[in-house]
Amino acid sequence: MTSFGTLTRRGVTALLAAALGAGAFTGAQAQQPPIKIGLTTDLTGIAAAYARGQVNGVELAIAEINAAGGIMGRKLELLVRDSQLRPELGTSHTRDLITREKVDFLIGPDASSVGVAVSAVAKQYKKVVVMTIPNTPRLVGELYHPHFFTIVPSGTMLARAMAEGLDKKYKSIAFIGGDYEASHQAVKYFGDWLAKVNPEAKITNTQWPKLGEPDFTPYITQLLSSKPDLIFSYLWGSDLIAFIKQAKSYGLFERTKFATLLFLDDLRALGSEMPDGILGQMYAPPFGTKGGKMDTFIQAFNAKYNAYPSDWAVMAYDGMMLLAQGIKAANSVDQEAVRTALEGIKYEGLQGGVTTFREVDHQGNVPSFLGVTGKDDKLPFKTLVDIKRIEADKVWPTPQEILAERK
Amino acid sequence: MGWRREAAPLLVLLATMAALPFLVGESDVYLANDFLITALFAMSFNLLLGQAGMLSFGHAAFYGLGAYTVALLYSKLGVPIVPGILAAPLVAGVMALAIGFFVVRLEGMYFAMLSLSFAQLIFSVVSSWYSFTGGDNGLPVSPPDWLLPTNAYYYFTLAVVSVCIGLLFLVRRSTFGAALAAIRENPQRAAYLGLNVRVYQLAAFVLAGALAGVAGSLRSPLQQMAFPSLLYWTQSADPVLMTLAGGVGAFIGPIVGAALFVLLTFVVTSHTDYPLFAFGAVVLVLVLFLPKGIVGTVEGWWDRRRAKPAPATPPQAAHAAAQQEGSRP
Repeated sequence: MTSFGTLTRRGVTALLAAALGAGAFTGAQAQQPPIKIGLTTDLTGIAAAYARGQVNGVELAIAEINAAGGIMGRKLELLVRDSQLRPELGTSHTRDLITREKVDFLIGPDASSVGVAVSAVAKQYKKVVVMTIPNTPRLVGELYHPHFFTIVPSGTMLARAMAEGLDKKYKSIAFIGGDYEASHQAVKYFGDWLAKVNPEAKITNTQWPKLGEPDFTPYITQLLSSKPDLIFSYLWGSDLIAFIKQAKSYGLFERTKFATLLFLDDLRALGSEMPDGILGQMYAPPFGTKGGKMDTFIQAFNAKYNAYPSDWAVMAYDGMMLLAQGIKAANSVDQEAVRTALEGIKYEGLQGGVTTFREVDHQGNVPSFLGVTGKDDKLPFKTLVDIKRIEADKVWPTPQEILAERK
Repeated sequence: MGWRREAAPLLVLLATMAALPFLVGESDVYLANDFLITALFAMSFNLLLGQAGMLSFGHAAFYGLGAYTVALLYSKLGVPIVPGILAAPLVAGVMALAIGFFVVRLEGMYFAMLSLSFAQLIFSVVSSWYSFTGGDNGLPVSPPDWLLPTNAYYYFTLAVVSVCIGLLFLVRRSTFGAALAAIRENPQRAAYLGLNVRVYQLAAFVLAGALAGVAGSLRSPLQQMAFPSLLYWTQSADPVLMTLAGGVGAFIGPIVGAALFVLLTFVVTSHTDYPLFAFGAVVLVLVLFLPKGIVGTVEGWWDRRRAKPAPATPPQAAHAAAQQEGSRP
């Protein structure tokens, strides 16, 4: 009966506090201050949809944790700030969350550039941060620090997984990617891995449109003129959508195989315009894992936000749940205790298997997925059929490689 | 305008900023630090626009060069940040000399466009030279332990920025400053009087570039990172907006504009879902109702109040008359 009593008292206090116009939460939780989680993410700009999925994923996890009584009797509270894809705002807001709002833990931002900035602040203030979208290899490489954890497949892992998963029959490969750091790295790691797993294959043509390019015509004709067996694309978001729409009219998808990095947001945006038979590589698609926790998650997400969750929502939810398990295991909000708990964690998440962090770089052993686009009657947009799950330990850099990068 | 009237608000501001860490929390000190750096950036820009009448759209190049000088020296050669901050104005100044050599030959819109082109050129190099600059995800830099606490770095910034703004103040009141003002008002007449217009403009461009470099060199240790976005053209638009918002003709105009923008950016991105809407509304109000900027409007109002009892030529009117005359050669 105690819990009933507490609930009622909380309810009454909350009502009173709301009536007084004060923050209901602070009033109700005066005895038990909430555990504060800080999230700086890019709610404005080209990556805004990803950030929204992330915020929703973390919110859903926190709602479930709080409904189950919180951690150590304390509720979780989420504080969200908009970094607008600007690293300097990422720094300012993250510092503000730590020094003014006194957040206990950080959960990852959106863009890699902001991720780099947030990681630097976490390092300075020795705050545990769990990254759920940024994946530049520099985060686990030269910029690594012991309070950093990531459950995103790194750029290296993804590029290698693509080379690993491709059929050996593709010998002549063309590349197209936005002219920025991540895709330059991608083609390098992809090429290196290809030399190992399919030594006869060659990258015969590379195209670098600028980010936000409206007209892909010259790139499409260049790509086709080299008559590749396969085009590997590192385009994403509005660039990928524009490219696919324009390439269709050139019959590109009939003339050659197309393999691309793919986000659920892009599948959603293209709808039925997405051609079938494209090889898509995804981070953490909800349809990549059948049954179990994932189904429950998809239903809960849909009930709360009336939408199908994106990769970002999946990783954000897992990131928050994993952090919560770490806090529970440490039975404290002390940074060193939680860091140690996370280092030894065995987390059973949405994607099946057990997530652990390795010692050298705190990279979670998360999978990535490779499949072929096609129709699923249950979804209003194209999905991946015939999905291959590529495990982290097959493609992640060895500890020696990581240590060499830090020199 | 008497020098006391221009110096007084600066000294009040300096005293306030010096007392600030005793009055507010760490996060606000950090925000104030951001403001000081932004203010110096805007002030260095206004040496060009306000004093010499040169509208540059590429000022961020020197800001970013300053930031990268510190970060590159730190991460490539292990040079601590204080010598880096001393080197930054030299690097930015030398680059400003090279770029200025070409751009001061042009006027008005052509000057603006060429300065923008050069800045974008430097931006492209910085953002795509991965092995040297770290590319678009930035280059890390760490202040030494004694500068790591927020207050310590704040006072360090305050000292450097005060010296630089003091220098700008002296320049404004020097014969060099007067010559720049003469060129701004009427370049033909200034040339006829024997001023070498191009040399003066080049000198202003170099000085403004070097001081923007100082601002940038303070920025990267604050963020512990140098980013290519510091050199991007949108960054060049910031001091233009800040200066116009604060008041282009007033010495402290850009400082007020910088305070407004830093606060607005922070508050708006912390608490609203529509930051661009909020920015747009503020700019609209400023343009429609305060065309002379905040400081310009306040000064005008102050002068009118004082002029009422004795309507003998108020300084503002004399200034306006000079401008009127200046615009017709």
